[in-house]
Amino acid sequence: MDSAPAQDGLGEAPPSASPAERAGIPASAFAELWTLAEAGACELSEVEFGLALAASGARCRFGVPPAETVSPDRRMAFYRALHLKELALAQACALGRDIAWRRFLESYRSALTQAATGIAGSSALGEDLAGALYAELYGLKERNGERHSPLAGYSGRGSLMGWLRAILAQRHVDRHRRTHRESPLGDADFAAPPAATPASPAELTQLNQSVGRTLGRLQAEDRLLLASYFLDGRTLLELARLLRVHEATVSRRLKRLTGEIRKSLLKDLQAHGMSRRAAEERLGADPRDLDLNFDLNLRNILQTSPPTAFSQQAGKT
Amino acid sequence: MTEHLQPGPHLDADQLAAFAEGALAGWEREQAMLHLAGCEACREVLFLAQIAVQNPAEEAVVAPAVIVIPTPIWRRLAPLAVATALAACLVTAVLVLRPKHPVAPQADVAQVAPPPAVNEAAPADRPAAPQAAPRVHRPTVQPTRQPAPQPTAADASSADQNSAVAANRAGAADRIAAAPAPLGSVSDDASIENLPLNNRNAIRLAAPQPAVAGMAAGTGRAVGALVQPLPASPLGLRIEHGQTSTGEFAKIAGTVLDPTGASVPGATVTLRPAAGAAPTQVKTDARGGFNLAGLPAGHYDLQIAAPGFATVTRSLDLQARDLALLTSPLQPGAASETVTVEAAAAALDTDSSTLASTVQAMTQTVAQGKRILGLDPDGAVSLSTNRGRRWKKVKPQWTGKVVHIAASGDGFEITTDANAVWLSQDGKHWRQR
Repeated sequence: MDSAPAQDGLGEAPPSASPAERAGIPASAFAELWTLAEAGACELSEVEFGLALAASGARCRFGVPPAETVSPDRRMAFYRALHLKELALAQACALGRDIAWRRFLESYRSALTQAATGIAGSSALGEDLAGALYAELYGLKERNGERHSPLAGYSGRGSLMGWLRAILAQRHVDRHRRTHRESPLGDADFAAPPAATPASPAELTQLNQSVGRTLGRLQAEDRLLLASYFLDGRTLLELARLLRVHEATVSRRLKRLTGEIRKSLLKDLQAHGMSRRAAEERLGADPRDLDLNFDLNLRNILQTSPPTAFSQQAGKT
Repeated sequence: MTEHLQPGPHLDADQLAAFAEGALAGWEREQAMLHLAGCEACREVLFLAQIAVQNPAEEAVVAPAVIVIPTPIWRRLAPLAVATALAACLVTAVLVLRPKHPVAPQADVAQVAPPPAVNEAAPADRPAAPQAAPRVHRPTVQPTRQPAPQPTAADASSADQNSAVAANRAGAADRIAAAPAPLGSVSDDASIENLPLNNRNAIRLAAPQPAVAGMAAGTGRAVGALVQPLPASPLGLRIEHGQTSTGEFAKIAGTVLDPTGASVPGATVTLRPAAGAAPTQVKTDARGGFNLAGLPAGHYDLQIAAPGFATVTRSLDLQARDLALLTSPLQPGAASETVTVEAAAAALDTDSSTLASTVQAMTQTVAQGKRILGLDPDGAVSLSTNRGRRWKKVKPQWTGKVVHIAASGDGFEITTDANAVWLSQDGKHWRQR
């Protein structure tokens, strides 16, 4: 999901191009966006605003799939859908405009502190977290000798407050991993499979492959649902809020998914030479045992990315 | 997935926030979910950021998520089109199912129960007389309402069918109710078919089909639903000949309704044979329906009584294999009518009667909208909150008698015999000035 290279209408404008040309839209449309964003109130110039628009669009290909060409209409639709005021404010803050900072603090200081408190779980930790983030957003950290503010990375697609919450969460996780050691899970955390006969290594290999094939056929949202619920232990409420559905819907989907996975696993195991009885023994009688019997398998298969990202990040931030 | 925050292929804060707010494009959201399904670290950050969303103060700052890709116009109009279609269906259903008699059921029955005089053949050119015009359905209405025979093998003898039906009509001419009425007064709406027969409608309309088929098969059985003349009785009656399959017996089926069209369960239906045999008595079921089967041909007196309603009676002649379909809209009992009153139904609204006397005895009233405050000669205050339909004594919070009541702004004001003035906005809660 990295930003695509400049192609299909995403080519960079020459340095002498006007702000509208940089954004790839007509001058009248740019003027309309400029007015909507109230960028002038943040002391953001038209050129800077045009650059911010172009950077935001190029970062996510204007919401267009990689195989398609970005049309001017799509480009304009993308710009219109942005949180333009917040984008202009974030860009002005990243550029160090005082008036923008005053507006930012007026609008977000209280909410940011509250969010940090909610994330950190305590008022003191939350204030520390928020204070550290203020410093970082203000650009006190320098990169290659230049002042750098994470606000420059805000694209305007989501709300600025949502972006700030995500940054806070990242920083909190980073700090937690810097200051805490991960404790390995005890053996008692995993229930013993109810299968009467222990599985042979060959059967376990076959089972692992079968689980991999079955889970690989699932849709992305279903995989996210399974991983969040069974691996992370998220509640139905959290999942429902994330997917913007009702808790009952999440519950039904989970039940359906586990049932389907069990059926699919049985078929797959039988298709690869295992008898039905043996396959059922390996799976257990109840589909709900899936998270117990195959917790490790699920973790191995769903957890494709190495869990070292934050560890690596911890040393850099 | 930018170099600003995290190295590597992880979702950056911007993408996480956009994903959480549903602002990513479809393909981008799919990729984000694929990554999230496999990346515990990003899921952790995502759910952690979601924790803080619950704070309403932050929600006020967060603007609603915006869909990046514009929706096509037809898709945006789809809900409107669906709503319009639903509304059209609803209107159609209301128009189709709406009772065609806007007046009370009593009036309906009166329309199909003309005085005997109008049963005589009336000249077609007779001037329309609104009061005397028998707004009964034409005798030809019933045959036309019978379902047309389906194009089956019976079609081969359709001419025979028609002639047989015509002969049957001629033979039963004395049983046909009304002569053709003046054109201006004849209305299908007034026909007995439109009476609320509840679930009997299905039987009535479906029954003629096998009879016609039977004619086509040459059974020679008398067919054709014929309408008996209806006396001036609030009973809707329709007799269909040859419609029962219980040997040579006839059957009466009906529904007892109240003036609003609601069914009357527990009504007593008494059928007295004219021959002096023992009467048969049944109670209507929960839907107000009743059935009297196995009736020999003959003359009967039918009586329907229900607590709180006027008893209705009528006589009818039944032939073998007749099916009498009956609808009886009962009217509330009047003083001059025979009303069966049961103990349970004799509950009086003692509250109303008491308060009615209170209203009569009041010496002074003050109205504020729907609320009326009344003062009786004893110095007690009563309050009505529904324009005087019901009254309730106001519990005095003052000492002594009230000598004067008046309106005060939007509320009320009373003055006691001790010259204390009390104010209230609603008439219930009072405070001393």
